[in-house]
Amino acid sequence: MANMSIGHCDLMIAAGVRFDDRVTGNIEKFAPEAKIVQIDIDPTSIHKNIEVQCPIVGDCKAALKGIIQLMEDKNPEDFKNDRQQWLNRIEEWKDTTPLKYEQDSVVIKPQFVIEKLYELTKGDAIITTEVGQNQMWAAQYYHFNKPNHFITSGGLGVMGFGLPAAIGAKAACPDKVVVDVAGDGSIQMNIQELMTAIESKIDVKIVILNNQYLGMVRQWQELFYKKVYSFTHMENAPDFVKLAEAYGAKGLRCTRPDEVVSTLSEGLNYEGTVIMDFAVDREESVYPMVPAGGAITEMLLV
Amino acid sequence: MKLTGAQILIKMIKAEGIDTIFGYPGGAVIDIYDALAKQDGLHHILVRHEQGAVHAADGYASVVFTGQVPTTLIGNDAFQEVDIVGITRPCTKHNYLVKDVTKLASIIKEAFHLARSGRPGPVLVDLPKDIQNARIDFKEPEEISLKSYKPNYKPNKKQLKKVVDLIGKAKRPVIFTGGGVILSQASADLTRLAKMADIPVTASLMGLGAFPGSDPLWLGMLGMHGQYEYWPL
Repeated sequence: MANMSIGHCDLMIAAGVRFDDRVTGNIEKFAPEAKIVQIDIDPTSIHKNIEVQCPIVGDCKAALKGIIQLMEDKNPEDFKNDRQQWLNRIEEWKDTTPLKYEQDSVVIKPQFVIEKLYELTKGDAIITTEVGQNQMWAAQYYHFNKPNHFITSGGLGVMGFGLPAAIGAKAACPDKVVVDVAGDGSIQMNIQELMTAIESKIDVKIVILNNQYLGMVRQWQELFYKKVYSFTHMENAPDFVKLAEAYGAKGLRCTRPDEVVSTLSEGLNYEGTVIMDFAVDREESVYPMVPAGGAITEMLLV
Repeated sequence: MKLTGAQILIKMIKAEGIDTIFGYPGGAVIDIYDALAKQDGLHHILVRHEQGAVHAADGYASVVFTGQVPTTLIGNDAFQEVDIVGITRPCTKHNYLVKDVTKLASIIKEAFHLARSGRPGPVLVDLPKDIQNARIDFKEPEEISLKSYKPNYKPNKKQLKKVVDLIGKAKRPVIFTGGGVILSQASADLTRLAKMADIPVTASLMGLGAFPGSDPLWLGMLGMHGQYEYWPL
């Protein structure tokens, strides 16, 4: 409902965002009916990608506190003015098209792995990601309730980020469970950092959503390049269980949906660094999807 | 007190309250590693590739120290000489090549100030080998005051009043948050504002977690793979 809400809102309060193209899609059709308020400490970020009607240069916290203060000085009830119709409409969007996938008994769906990871860690783990489908499924299905629990390479989008970032996060927060959600392509980009984790006794959990493809590029090739899967095949990959063992980590492999939970439990409970390699549906795609440059309300569904 | 450049570096990093650094030794930083071996309190994690060190430090602090050939050799295409300040100009908030060891301490202090203040971002300090092993009388650097860099933290009150008016008039408002809300530790304020006025909240990828994902006002992520919901086409 996020995209549809933006398509139909009449006021957008944007705080600490820079209106990246991956967020706005076609800028002409982004929040066409809305007055936009933009709060940012960096004056060069304001008006950079989108015209805003009410710019505020300053710290987000100071600005939000200031707005709250001014509202408290008035009658706070006035601000819930006529809201019900809008909230009902959003509820309808929520009910009719939630994020969805279907898990059968044969092939593991990557979304299922993330949902089970969320349940088993009670939403309390720090999640780092690589870049691509693994990153999007983590963002969609690990329902982040607290700040600083999702460490990902956003604008730069650098593969090979998740494992060293997990090591850094665990070094900073030794009492937290830290999980790198990875793809079979990305994990190979900085796999050598497994040795760092082992040597420094920094316990990180690596979940590989292994579809034997560079999945996000494959998805674009499927949708926009007539399924010409040019150099996105990754069938020739190391045996990740043996690789983990070679570094002195634990390696687990899971190929069946009914073993997903037990594999995750074993990996999460293991005291030390572990790779959990999940053989997932090879051609599963991330949906919904707005083609690059499209309006964010013009989404491809499953 | 006489200190080498390498010792000043370690002292200044500690003064910033930092207890862990990530790195990889090499010829151009060998003096720093010699000083690291002879100190306590700063924990060094040895990575297996420099890229790993940068990403590991990313969720941590973001000042990068690089080794450089001696100042006398800069420009000679000396062994392992790289114009790292030139190369990293587009991907750092600011960067420095230290050419005078007496300025080292204040440059390090300034680097951390820039990395942490305003819109935070990575800062790189390039340290030629002769700067690392030069020995000088150490003097505490003065407080940082940069004429050309004064981030404005305090928002204009008139503009805030305008926002309050807009919220009062809006029928279909949405709050859209990004990484900036997390960096400014404003999650609680954001949540309070949303609840006060019943405003649904969405976020960019970097803003996830600033507003609770289990709250009824949560709309899910926005954008290319953002949450859809039914739209009668």
